[in-house]
This record gives sequence, C-alpha cells and structure tokens, in this order.
Amino acid sequence: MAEEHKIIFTGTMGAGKTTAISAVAGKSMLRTEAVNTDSSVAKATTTVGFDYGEIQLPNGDVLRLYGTPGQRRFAFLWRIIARGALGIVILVDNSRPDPLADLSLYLDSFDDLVKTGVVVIGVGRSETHPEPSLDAYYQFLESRQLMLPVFQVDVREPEHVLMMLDVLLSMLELTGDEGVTHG
Amino acid sequence: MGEAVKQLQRNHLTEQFTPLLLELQREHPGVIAAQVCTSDGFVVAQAQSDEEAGRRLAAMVSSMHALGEAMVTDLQLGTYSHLSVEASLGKCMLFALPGTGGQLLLAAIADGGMLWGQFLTACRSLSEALGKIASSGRS
Repeated sequence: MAEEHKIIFTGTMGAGKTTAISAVAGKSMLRTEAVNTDSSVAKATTTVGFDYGEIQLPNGDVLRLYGTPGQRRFAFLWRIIARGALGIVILVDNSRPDPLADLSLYLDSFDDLVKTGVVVIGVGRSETHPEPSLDAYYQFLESRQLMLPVFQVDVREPEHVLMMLDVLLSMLELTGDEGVTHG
Repeated sequence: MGEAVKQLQRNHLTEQFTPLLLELQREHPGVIAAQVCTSDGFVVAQAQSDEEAGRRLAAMVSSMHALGEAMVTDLQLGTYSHLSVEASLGKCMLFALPGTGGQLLLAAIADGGMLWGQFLTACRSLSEALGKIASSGRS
C-alpha cells in the first residue's frame, strides 16, 4: 500500500527552499509568494504562506514537500506546518553573516522534529563562501550533541535535492517510521 | 536613493491611511483594530496602539492572504477579493486593496457584537477608498 511522507524544507529567507521544491516537484508546485519589500535582502519575492510540491517514488509512495517562510515573524506558521512531518531539510545560506547562528535558530524552532533525528542539512553558496567549512558545521552539531548529515548543495540542481531526500528517507527507514498509509 | 524614495512613499501612505483607519473605528465602535500591511507582512498603517500585536497581525494577514489567493488560483475562481474569519468572540476581515496588485492588504478585527454584513460593507468601502489613494500615489 502506498505511503505518504510529509517532509519540511526550512531555512533563512533566500536559502533556496522554494527553488529546492520547484527543482524536484516541477510545475505542479503550489507557491504563496509576495513581493519582497525588505530591502535588507536582495530578492524579488518571498514565501509568506508555504510552498507545496509532491514527488511520486517508484514504489508508489508519495513525498509531500512543504517549504516554510524563512523570516522569524512567520514562526507561528512553522509550528503549524511542522505538524505531522516525518523529516526536515534545513537549508543554510553560507553567504550570510552567521550561518551557524541561522542553523541554530531552525534547530531550536523545530526542536521536536530534530529530536527524532530525521534531519538533513544543506549548505548553499559554499562555492563562493567556503566558510564555515563542513568540518565547522560538524563541530557545531557535535557541540549540541547532534549527529546529522551536512551536504554542500546547489538546490537548483534536482539531483542535489533528491540526494538529500534520499538520505532523509534512509534515516526514516532506520527509525522505523512508515508514514501515513493510504489504500 | 531608490530605497529612500520607497520609504518616503510608504511614509506618505501611512499618513494618508491612518486617519481613514481611525475613522472606521470611530464610526464602528465594534472594530477593535484595523491596519494596512504589505503582502509580505510589514505594517504600513494601523489604528491600534500595541505595535508588537500589529506586527504579529501583519505576518498572519500576509500568510492568510497568500493562502487564500493560492486557493482561488488553484481552484480557478477568478480574482481574490477578501477573506473572513468568524470566531465565538469576534471576527476578522482581510481585503486586498483594489488597484495595488495585491501588494497592500487591509485587515480589520471586530468584536462579536458587530453584525457581519455591516462589518463586510464597512471594510469593502474602506478598502476601495484606500486602494484609490494607493493607486493615485503610483501614477
């Protein structure tokens, strides 16, 4: 019987959440974007509701991908979107002033999900901003007693996004969570 | 330079919108709060003293508006107009200001005593007036 797995993409504004879901879910994706009036971020639009896309796996299972808004003022939505999720992809923008602090915010905000251990971290723009290095990320996570996979990714590339989802699904299998079953 | 102009335009809108929002409250004592915010959740003008509550409301209004608009688009129901939320102790009305391309939103909250139809009519009229001001500022 087919199963559905709810997966969340989160991270700062501009980290690539909408792009990542779009890269794998294609045109059927639902977006809730508004014109960005925040001059501190050079971005034309920003997600203010949530993004939604689906991927059908070869075995018939469906991954339901939800992208959160990035800004802290939308934290009320983070909690709503997180309900029923089985795993989370945290995207970090390495070109921002303090990427580790950004990561910390999302680890704290999605604490319940992080405790399940089904978390993958994707670091973007590391080709132009190599620091913090992957080692620095692992040290940071270790300081928080977390052992989570960290990848350097370009979320415009579908294979990078699929690779993170693949790892996430493997982690789900290890935890024995079987998602929501539909006839 | 561009940002300074934008800020001046927003300040101008704040000055023009605020009296109309206050007038809504004067004419309808059941209206607890009213604000205009951007579609990405920033307060432009408001008729309430609690600034933090105003910022929280703006974030929620932008999300609700975006979800309503996405639903209307997905279901091919035409152009999004407004969204209403009714609860046991009050009601909220969210309007996209006409002529702003959905970039400016009106949100108003009323207590349980205010009649829904009266509230809807008052908010619709106000949104049209605010939309005209916003549109004239763009031309």
